[in-house]
Order: sequence, then C-alpha cells, then structure tokens
Amino acid sequence: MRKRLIIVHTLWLFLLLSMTGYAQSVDQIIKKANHVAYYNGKDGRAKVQMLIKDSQGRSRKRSFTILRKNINTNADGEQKFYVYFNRPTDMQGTVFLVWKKMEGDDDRWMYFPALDLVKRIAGGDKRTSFVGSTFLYEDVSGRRLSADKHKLLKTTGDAYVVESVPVDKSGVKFSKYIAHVDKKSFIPLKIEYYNSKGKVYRIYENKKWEMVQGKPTVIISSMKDLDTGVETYNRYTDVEYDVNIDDSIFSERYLRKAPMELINY
Amino acid sequence: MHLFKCSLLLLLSTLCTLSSWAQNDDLENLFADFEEEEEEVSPYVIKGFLDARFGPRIAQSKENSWYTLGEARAQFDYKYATNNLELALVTDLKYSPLQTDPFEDVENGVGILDIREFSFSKSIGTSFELKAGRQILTWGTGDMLFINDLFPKDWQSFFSGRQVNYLKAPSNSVKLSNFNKWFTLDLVWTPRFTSDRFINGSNIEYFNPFIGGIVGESAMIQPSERDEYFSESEFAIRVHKVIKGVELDLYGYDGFWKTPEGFNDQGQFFFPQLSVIGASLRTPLFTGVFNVEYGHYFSRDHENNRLKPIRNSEDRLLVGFEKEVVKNFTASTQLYIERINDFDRYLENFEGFAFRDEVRTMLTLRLEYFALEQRLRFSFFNYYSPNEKDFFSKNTITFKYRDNLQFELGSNYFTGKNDFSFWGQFQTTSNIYAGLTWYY
Repeated sequence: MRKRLIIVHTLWLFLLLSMTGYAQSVDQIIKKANHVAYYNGKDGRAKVQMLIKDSQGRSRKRSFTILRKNINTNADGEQKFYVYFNRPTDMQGTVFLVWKKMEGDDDRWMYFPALDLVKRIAGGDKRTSFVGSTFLYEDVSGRRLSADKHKLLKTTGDAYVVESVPVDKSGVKFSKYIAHVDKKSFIPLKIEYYNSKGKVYRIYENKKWEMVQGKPTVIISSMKDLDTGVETYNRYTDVEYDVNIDDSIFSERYLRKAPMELINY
Repeated sequence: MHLFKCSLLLLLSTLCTLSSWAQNDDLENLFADFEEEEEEVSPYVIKGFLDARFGPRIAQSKENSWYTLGEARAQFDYKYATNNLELALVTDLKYSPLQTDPFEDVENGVGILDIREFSFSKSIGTSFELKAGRQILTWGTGDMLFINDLFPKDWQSFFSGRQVNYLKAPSNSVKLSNFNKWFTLDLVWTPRFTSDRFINGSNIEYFNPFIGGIVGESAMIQPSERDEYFSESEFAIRVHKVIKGVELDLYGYDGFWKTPEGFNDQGQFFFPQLSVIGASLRTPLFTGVFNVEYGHYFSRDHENNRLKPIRNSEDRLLVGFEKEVVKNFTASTQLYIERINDFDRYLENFEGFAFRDEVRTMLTLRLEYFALEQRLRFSFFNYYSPNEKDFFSKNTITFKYRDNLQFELGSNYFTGKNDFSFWGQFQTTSNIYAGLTWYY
C-alpha cells in the first residue's frame, strides 16, 4: 500500500514537473517572440510605408517614422514611442506619442501642427484602428503577455504554434489567437485571430524579414481583415537599433518641434 | 524511380523558390508607388491644399447676406526644418464675393491674403528654443473652450463653417522656451496686441446693447485701435510639468481682453487691460482623460475705473472628461463656469443693458464617431447654457474620398430664449455648409 502510494506520488510529482517544464517553455517562446517583435535593441527607429488596400482594390497610403525606446533595459517592460507622420499630406507633421505602461492605461498624446495643439488621447481602447488601417494601436505597441493565457499547441518543422486566450474577454473581439513563431529567430511569422464563433477573421503575416544588426527584423508585414476584405501592408525601411535616442525626445517639447535629425535620416 | 523522385523534388523546390521570388517581387511592387515619390532625405516640405466651401444661412438674416460663407482658398505651406533651425511660411490666397476690398486688413486675414505663419525657430544651446515671427500658438486643456489660452481665435471662421484649424488665428510673437530638469517654461511676447477675429457684425450678426437688438453691417463694432508696439504688448507665460503622466500647468497673462469688452469715454468699444493667472491639470482617469482648468481674469481697467462700463473681473473654471465609449466612438463632456466678481457693481455700471447673470454655466457634449476605416467622421459638438437657456450646436460630417480629397458637410445652429444671450445673439447666423478640400 505504502509502496503504491509512493509510486502514485512520484508519478504525480513527475507529471507536475513535466507540466511546469512545458508551461515554462511556452512562456519562454512568447517572451522571446514578444522581445523580437517589440523590444529589439535598447532603442530603435524605422521608416514605415503603409498601404491600405480595400476589397475593391482602392489603396490609401501612409508614411511615418517611428522612434522607440525601452525604458527598462533589463526587462521587457515600459516603452516610449514617437510616431511622426509624413503622409497623407493633411497629416504631415502630426505626431503621436505613447508612453506604454505595464499597469494601467498607456499615456497617449497627439500633436496637430496647424493648431499647435497637444491633445491627450484616452488610453483605454487600444483595439482601435491605427490611422485607419487594419493594424490596431495594440499591434503597433504590443499587447501585455499577461493579458492572455498561452498554450503550445504543436511544434512544426520550423515553427512553434502557440494558442493565446485572453484572460479578460471583454474589450477584445477575438476569442483566441494562434501564432506561428519561428523556431530559430523567435520572430512571429503568422498570427490568426479567431472570433467568438471560432472562425478566423483577422490574419497577420510576416511576409519578409531579415537580420538587422544581428536582430531578426520584420521588413514587410500585412494584416488582413477577412470581414471587410481590407488588407494593410507595412514596409519597414532603414531599420536601426541602438541609436541612443534620448529620453527627452518623448516629451511635449519634441511634439511641438520634431527632432528632425532623428526623423529625416 | 529514385531518379524520378529526385527530379520531382528538384522541380518542386525550384518552383517553390521561383514562386517565393515572385511573391517577394509582388510585395516590392506593392510599394513601387512609394519608391517613386520617395525623394532623398530633404529638409524641405512643400504642401498645401485647395478648398472651396459654401454656407447658406438657415435663419433669416437681419441685414447681411443670405449666406455666411462662400469662398475658394489655396494654401501654400513651405517648411525648411533641420535639427536646430526651422523656417515656415504658410499663406492662404482666397476669394469670396462677400469680400469687396481685397486688401482690407491683411493683418487680420480680411481680404485675399491670410498669412498664417511666417516664422523661424532656433535651438539655443540644449535647453532653449526660440520661435519668432508670425505663428499660431495654443495651450490649455479645454475642448473648444479657452481659459488660459489667450492667443487669438477666429470666431468668424468657427461660426461660419471653415475648417476647424481656422479657429486659431496667428499673432506676431516671440516665444522663448526653457527646458530644465524640473519643468518647461514658455514665455510669449507679442509686441503689439493682437485681438481675436471677433464677431463684429460683418457677415455674422450680433446683439448690440445700445440698439437693443440683433444687428449686422449697419452697426459694425469698430473698437478704438490698440496697435502701439511695445506699450500695447502682451505677455504670456506657462510652466509645464508632467508627473507620472499627470500634466500640471501654471499660466499667466498680461495684456488686454481679446474682444472689445468696454466702452471708453467717447462711448466707443475698446479692449480693456486684462491680467490672468491660472492653472490646469490633465490626467488619464477611468480609461478616459480628465481635465480641470481655472483662471482668474483680473480686469485691470475695471479695477482702476470702477464706475465705468468695462467688463468686471471674473473667475473661470472648467472640468472635462473624455472617453472612448465603444470602439470608434468617443464622447466628451465639459462643465464650464464663469462668475462675475462684484456683481452689484456690474449691475450699476451696465444699467439698462446688464443682461448677464452673476454665474454663467455651460455644458458641452462632443460625440465623435468614425466609420469606414476612419474615412468617415461624424462630430457633434454642443454647447448648452442652463442659466442663459441658449444653445450652439456644431456638427460636421467629413468624408475622405481619397487620401487627398475630402468632403465636408456641416451645420452651425444657434438658438436661445433671449436675443441678448451669449449664443442666442447669433441665431440669425445659423447655417449649413459644404466644403471640398484637395490636398497636394
């Protein structure tokens, strides 16, 4: 009896251990994927060309420069983003500033040059379209890892397939999303978002990526909304890491007067 | 068999490679348009727009034209920007049949020319910025309500249906900013007073207390001039600080009421002396944005000549909250309070036309909704004063047909229980308008 108990307990412990081992590895995968997608380098900048194509083939264009800085260089946490718009013409000189936080709402500002107006933007709904594209604010600045429960579904030849289910289902349209993460580089290759009926309605695809300064970097990505048929393509050019962007850039001072040497490069 | 398998594999892999190349080519082709236009990195920006708009009155005009707005406008916007030097020239050329003298008042943009900006900015060391010349300046936390922002506004544009950007008018000013590790300090000096582009009876009608009714061109307000350099200059100061995402600001102003708020000894409208001190706070709260702003308006000419019909000192307070209620739908509301100091004196000084209550309250509600990938925007902005029982509703629908082509439909609706109230006096100006803008 006692012997059997020991065996059962050992088995149980073994099961527990293997489960935690498994869980840890999925956590590591998404942690690394999140790092590659949003935290490369201590800071970075890129020029982005955005093409929004609707179901009738009409296209709209955006172009902007993104500056990003990781606040805590030891852990992937708070970040600051500065987005300077060049296109469309009526948005030229408009700036979008985000202080991304790990708890509570992000701090967000917009600057409108024609009015010299610094407007505070409610940080609540991050699942709103970014400048009319199929990318959401959350896609641009990242989603908290703790917002979802992650599970490794399977491992294919070159990718981990991870399922993420939101902890709080209110405020998000998806019931889950499934990400394909490159095994070697940990760069996300594809993410499919499922609606409450279990159907895919939104697909992110990493169409092209390269190593930049030794870091896996997206060059062309797309986001397709299957409900509307609208697809957005982003092309990142002139990606640079460790530019040494000063913290002060992410302040009202540089909303009103853009740091041109960082933006025009 | 083995050979067959191998060649099949080879063929397949070649096809795959080819198709992936083709795919990459397709991807690059997508952005070919950008490539063409992607010039070398240049410090110059040249842009602008053509804009035509027309706004008929929906109310019967007393004396003025049956339309409040009818104009074609071309904006030319030139900028040269490097890291420590920026030059800007923004000019509007416009034509309106409502305008008879093409160079009536270039300073205030009345006529065919409106110089919106002509300025240079320069960094001085690492902690100072200087911006001098004609420029548009804004600070404060209100939404279409201003307490500590005493830079010129263009109420004529705002009430008649021009683009919202025209709510702010330029001034010829020098702005010096200092950035230190504790706060930001802004000093703005306007060597010669610049008033608001206020409602003076041309085109937009107002309530004239002497006549006792709503009037237009027959009784245009022509205040005595305030155009002496240096002796009639304006100073504005702001201290700005962000603590953990909370924006705190202190403000000061020394100059003149921006609209003619007094009568001089000749019985003529004039711009009395005014000083303002105030403060504001703006912070994220309950997944929205909360703001509160206060200002004390010290009407110096009134305090020095307490028996004359000059606007009293006032306290002004606003509290606002904005929130994205559901995706693409934002609601914001503000409560605004204006309290006249020494109200008994006001009643005596303005005997016969003391129409104001001691406390004026106003509520605003803005509803904003985006649709069609944000190409379609609905904005409803409403002002309502419970004590004056008057109402101003400013509604616009903008549709971006293409990135560079925009349609706008809007209305400005004024109503009030009394002709003399703040919004009620503009009831004959109620209008609808349509505009078309092409950006280049």
